[in-house]
Amino acid sequence: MADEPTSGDGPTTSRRLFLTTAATALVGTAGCLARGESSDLEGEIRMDGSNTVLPHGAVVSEEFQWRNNRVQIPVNGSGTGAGFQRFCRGETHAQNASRTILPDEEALCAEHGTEYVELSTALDGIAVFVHPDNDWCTELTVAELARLWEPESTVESWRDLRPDDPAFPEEEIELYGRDPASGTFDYFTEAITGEIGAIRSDYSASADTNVIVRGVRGSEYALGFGGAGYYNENRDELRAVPVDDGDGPVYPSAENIESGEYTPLTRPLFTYFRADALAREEVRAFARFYFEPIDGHAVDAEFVDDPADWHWTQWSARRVGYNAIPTESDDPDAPSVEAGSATLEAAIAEVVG
Amino acid sequence: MSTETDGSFVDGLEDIERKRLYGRLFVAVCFASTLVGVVALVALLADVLYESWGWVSWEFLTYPPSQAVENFLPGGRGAGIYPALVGSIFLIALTAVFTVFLGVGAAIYLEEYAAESRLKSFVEANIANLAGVPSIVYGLLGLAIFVRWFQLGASLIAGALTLTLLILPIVIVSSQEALRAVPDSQRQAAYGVGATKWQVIRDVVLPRALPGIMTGTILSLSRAIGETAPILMVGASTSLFVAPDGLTSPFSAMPMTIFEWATLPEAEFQHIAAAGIVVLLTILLLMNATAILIRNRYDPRS
Amino acid sequence: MSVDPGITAATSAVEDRKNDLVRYVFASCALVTVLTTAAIVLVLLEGAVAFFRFPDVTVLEYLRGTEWSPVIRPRSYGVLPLIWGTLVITVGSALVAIPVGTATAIYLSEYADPDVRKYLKPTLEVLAGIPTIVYGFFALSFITPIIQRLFPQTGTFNAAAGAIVVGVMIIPMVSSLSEDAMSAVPDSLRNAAYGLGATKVEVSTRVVLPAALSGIVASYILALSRAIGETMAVTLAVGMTPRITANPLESMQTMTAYMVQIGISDVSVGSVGYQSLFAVGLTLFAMTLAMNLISLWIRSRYREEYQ
Repeated sequence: MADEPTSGDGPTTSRRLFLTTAATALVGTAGCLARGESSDLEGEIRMDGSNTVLPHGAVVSEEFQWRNNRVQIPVNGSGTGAGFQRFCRGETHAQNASRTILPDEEALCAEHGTEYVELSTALDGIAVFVHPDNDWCTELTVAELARLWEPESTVESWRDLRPDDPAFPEEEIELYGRDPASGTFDYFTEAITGEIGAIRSDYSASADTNVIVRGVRGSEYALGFGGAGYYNENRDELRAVPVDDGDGPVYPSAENIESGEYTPLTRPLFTYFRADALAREEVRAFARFYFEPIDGHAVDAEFVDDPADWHWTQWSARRVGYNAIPTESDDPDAPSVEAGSATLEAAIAEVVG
Repeated sequence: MSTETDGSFVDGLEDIERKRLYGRLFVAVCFASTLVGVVALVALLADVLYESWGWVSWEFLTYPPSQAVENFLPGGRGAGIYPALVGSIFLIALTAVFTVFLGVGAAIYLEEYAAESRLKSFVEANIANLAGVPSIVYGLLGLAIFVRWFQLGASLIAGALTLTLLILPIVIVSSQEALRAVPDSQRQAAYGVGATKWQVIRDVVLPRALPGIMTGTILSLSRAIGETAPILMVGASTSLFVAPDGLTSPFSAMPMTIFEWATLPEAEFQHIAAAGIVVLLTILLLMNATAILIRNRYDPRS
Repeated sequence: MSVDPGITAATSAVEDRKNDLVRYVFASCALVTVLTTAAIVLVLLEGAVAFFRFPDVTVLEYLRGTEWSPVIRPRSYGVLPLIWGTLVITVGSALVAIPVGTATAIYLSEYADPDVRKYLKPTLEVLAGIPTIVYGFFALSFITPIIQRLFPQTGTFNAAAGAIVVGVMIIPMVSSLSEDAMSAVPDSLRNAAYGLGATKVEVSTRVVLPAALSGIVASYILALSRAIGETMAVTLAVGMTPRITANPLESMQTMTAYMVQIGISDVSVGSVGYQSLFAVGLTLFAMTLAMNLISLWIRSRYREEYQ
């Protein structure tokens, strides 16, 4: 560049010298601070998509990178929609999604010639929770939840919710929940009110479930919904309400969610891989890693009873407060490690030949 | 002052007393206002330090982040903010370089070269308007222009260019004010001994305007290092194992990592996020201190 | 500080070309700002046009409707609640920052010891550097509980906490830049006023303030621009419930918070919900443009220069 405006100035030059030296020193040390063990695998695998599924994908990639530290896996959480844009355009190799791909996103992928494999890698339960001093609401039916949350709902107080139960007070229900642009919201509305996006407009929405927890914790008459993992982390401060879908009230415990009993508020979470990325050795290794058995420190986790029964995708799900897909399942359409692995191997076979 | 009866002299004395009282009150109010800012700062820092106490360690500074809280605890594998720390520093260094050149250059053009005209007023109005555009719009802009159109991808340089555009208006406006504050007599004196325009700017105007330029640049870079929305849209990574090693490599930055941590369910992550904030603020303080040292050396009032 | 003897040499043709080159380089720096605006308008316009192309969306409803719900059914597309939220925060933060910032600047410029100023001014500037997300969390964890203790009916999200926190954030912009402007007022003006028997208060308020007015007003405009465009702190503290209410203790949503919410959300890109973010962005851009044109006109009437 031609004459710089500040070329004659001592202090600015020395400031830039300081910055350059510092930056160079950092670059030098950056290389020295490689953690974990190296292997023959190397390359970059870019992962983006839902920021709900991000913790799961991040933990799997962390464990993989500790064992193969010459592979770099930057993980982003731009949102399922924005993530699919990048995925279909070839900017990323792996996509986390809290829903399946939509038709117009499929069309975009077709347009760019992007083929992919869809794997169901985790389960997420949505809990309904109330203040710990709320002793009257011992369970709720799906129908009651629908009446409470439907658009233009007339339910204002607890008594409105269950008029013939004198234990339900005349107090106004303070409602908290996930914001309308999240996958959690979409799934909750579809499962409870029957239509994605159909919900009453006067609840306090937040994109951060911790804030929802805080809100419910702050008021005896509050009720909120959010990921079951957040409830589990705040067991002393909240009470989860068992949901009755016709077979009796079911509590959102890990066992109930993973066995499929906690309906309808259990949803599958997905990871997509691009077929052309699977042509690369390190991407295949990473994708397969999801369904490989755990080893090392992982076996010491308190939820691991029999290490042989745990695979990385299941372990990671539990690690971050989600729920694990079963190792195998009688239902061929249900997500499981066995089914996912088979789907993945089939896709790899097609690519590698 | 009139020379009248004793009555008005006493009135005059009372007047002076009243004015003195008013004067003291005025100083007290101004001083109290200054304290408002200081108290707010102290409260905020105390809150952050309290939350983060014991969580900032050597491991925290040198290990990659993790979504599993166990890795952060003593006895865990080790986790921290290292790649984001390096990423933020690189990002700010790059942004500083671009911003200083573009910003001071533009300010010099507007103050020293451009004649007062409709075009100049238009450009200045435009710059003032850009200062108010929300950071997420710059994020959308960076995504469309640098990531997509320039094909830079979600890289360090795309992030730096986006942040540059974000803070450019503030740097230009404050640099302009600094240049404007240099009395014209100084310029005329230099022209009087035969200096060219460029020489006048370089040797007479800039050195005097430097403290003011530094003020605007410090404030702006401080803002840039803490911005989340623009780098989020451009594609800063939430989870990165290694520090960025090139202009086109994926990058992560501290605000994003902190934000991610704060939204995770485990209670410990609130402390970890606070620890990240402490690291970020320390970098900020180092930046401020360096620039202030430079500014104080050249402050015309000291 | 001394003038280089080389300056006394006569200007040559080379010097002329060098000067021209320098001029063009600087001009192109200024050009970048114009290009930036053009690019922003293009990006926003493209998205907004896509938004208005959707069958249920009309420009009339957008500008006059008082319900904003592009994602939740029943859908409505009136942007006024978001504009209201933005205005509440901006005005609230101005109420905090302008008095406090100006008084601080007067203190630093006219009354403080040079040593005190040397340390106090950078200390306040740290406030400007605190990341906006930190302010958001500070509002949630510290400010809102205090407000709730005073006014128990305050919700977890409320506009007041957002306004306070944004106000604190922009104090240093007002104080530092105003102080710079006041310092630039030559002492000769102050001394002349003292010579006429003015008190220090009178000198500060009737001589220095008016003389530095262009710089002070510039600092106000910059600070308010920052307040309007403030994104993360209001996203966290003020809430995600677009509504028009006069009660600052309730939750609202600003235009920027809405844009963030959609920008990082799971909605499908290209859907009406996603495209609405561009329409909101364009509206915000138009608002700040109008505000800045007015303020520029005001400023041009008060600028003073010193010899």
